[in-house]
Amino acid sequence: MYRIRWLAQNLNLPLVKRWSIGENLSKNTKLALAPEKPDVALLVAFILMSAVIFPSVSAKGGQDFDLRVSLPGKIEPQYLARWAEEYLWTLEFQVHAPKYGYTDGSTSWSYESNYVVGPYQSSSTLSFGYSLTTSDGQTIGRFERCLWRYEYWENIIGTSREYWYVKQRTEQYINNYIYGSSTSTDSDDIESFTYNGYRSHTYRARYVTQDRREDNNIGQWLPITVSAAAGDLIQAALTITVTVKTFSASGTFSLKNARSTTWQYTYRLAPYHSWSIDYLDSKNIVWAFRLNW
Amino acid sequence: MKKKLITFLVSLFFLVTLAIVLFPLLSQTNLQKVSNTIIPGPYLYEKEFSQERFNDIYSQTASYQLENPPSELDVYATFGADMKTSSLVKGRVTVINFTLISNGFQVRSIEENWVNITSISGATVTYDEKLITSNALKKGLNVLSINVNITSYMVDPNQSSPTYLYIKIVDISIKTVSVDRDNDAILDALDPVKGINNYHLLLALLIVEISVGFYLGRRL
Repeated sequence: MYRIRWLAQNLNLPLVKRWSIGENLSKNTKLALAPEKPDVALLVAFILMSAVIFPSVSAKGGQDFDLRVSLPGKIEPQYLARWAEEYLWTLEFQVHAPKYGYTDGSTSWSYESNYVVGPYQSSSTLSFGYSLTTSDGQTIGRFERCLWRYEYWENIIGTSREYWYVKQRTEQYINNYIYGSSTSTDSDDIESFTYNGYRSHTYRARYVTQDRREDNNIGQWLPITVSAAAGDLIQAALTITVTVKTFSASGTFSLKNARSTTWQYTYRLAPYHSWSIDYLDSKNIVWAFRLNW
Repeated sequence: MKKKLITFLVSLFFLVTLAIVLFPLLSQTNLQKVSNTIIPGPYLYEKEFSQERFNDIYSQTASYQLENPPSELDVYATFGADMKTSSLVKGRVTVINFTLISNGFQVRSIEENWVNITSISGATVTYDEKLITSNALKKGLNVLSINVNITSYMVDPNQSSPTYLYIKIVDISIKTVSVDRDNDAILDALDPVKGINNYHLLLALLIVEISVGFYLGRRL
């Protein structure tokens, strides 16, 4: 403490004589902190404060990276034990048309597709504006090449969590037939593919069981319109399986109407034919077909 | 003398407050923060071809004005496209690459792959808005080009198929947003001290003034 006072005296630093925080300190300490000219000390302190404030005033730089990825319920503390990344063709949108029929709907609509994957429900959302119609049993899927990331987190008490999520989009899209070998049925629809060296995740988008039957015995086209209000789901809970390198998990795909108006889509069924229809999910909007006659 | 000093310091603080906070805040109430420019189209590409391998390039250029320097704005660009294709047989892959170029700088690349598609009567896409980096912008006239590179080939090179391709670029949209990068609620376009939070500056001035006031006040 004497050294401090000695230093102050020899450097001729003006110190304050009494300082409130020094009241409860020992006499020596009080003396050491005992300045004589409060104003200069204050000035120095304020200049130092200003020096601290100014560097913190920096322009906000860089671009916001909004992938809207949420990793729910992380436990603290955790450490990343292993991870893997892989580009996968990622389903954004699909349209199924009946054999002897076609579809039409709202053009250039805004959608959000959401992927909830793994036991801890990692969620990723992609937004896009698109519209696609097809005809005569030709079923089309639209996919974007996305970088998927797998993370395995642990902590010292032995619990662990795994996450699968979309880390990055590439703006590379593929529009691909997914109807398999026959346009008469969606039973053999392709549920995964490889293109340009990249795999897709798998998706359950084929006809399995009849939820509805349409026998169009009248000599006219039969239009059936489905719709989703603003913000509602168009498709919910389509089963998907995401495999990043060797780490695999199942999850769900859903599609939301991201516009402020009602989305509509019409299936048009040709006269004198019959179809079995499988609702691909609980919303009864996205259908897969099998031609009966 | 002390009175004069205090008057001077208070006046200085008041004038600086007026200049860097109050006047800019009042002025920006009339400033349009977001503006949209639609560059009129449509720009149409239509071709029939039957070669086993087909390449083509198609380019469209549009221009627009920026009234402020790019450092004071965030500029977003987007466009939409209607696409149709028909081919006699399956087995053709068509790759359409859209490259967005702003004043000579490539700012975005979008690739659409049509694989094995024999007939699409209507695919309409509107791409998300994307920020154009400020180095690719300038005050005044800006030139935005969309280069469309088309590559189409048969998976089986011994095959060929007459193919029709239609691409219509619609709705080239430029959105400019006035920004406040130093988070002082004063838009950079009207901020006399860009890059520094004006309230932090005022606080610093206040601190210095109080210190100077104390120091000189004791001496006078």
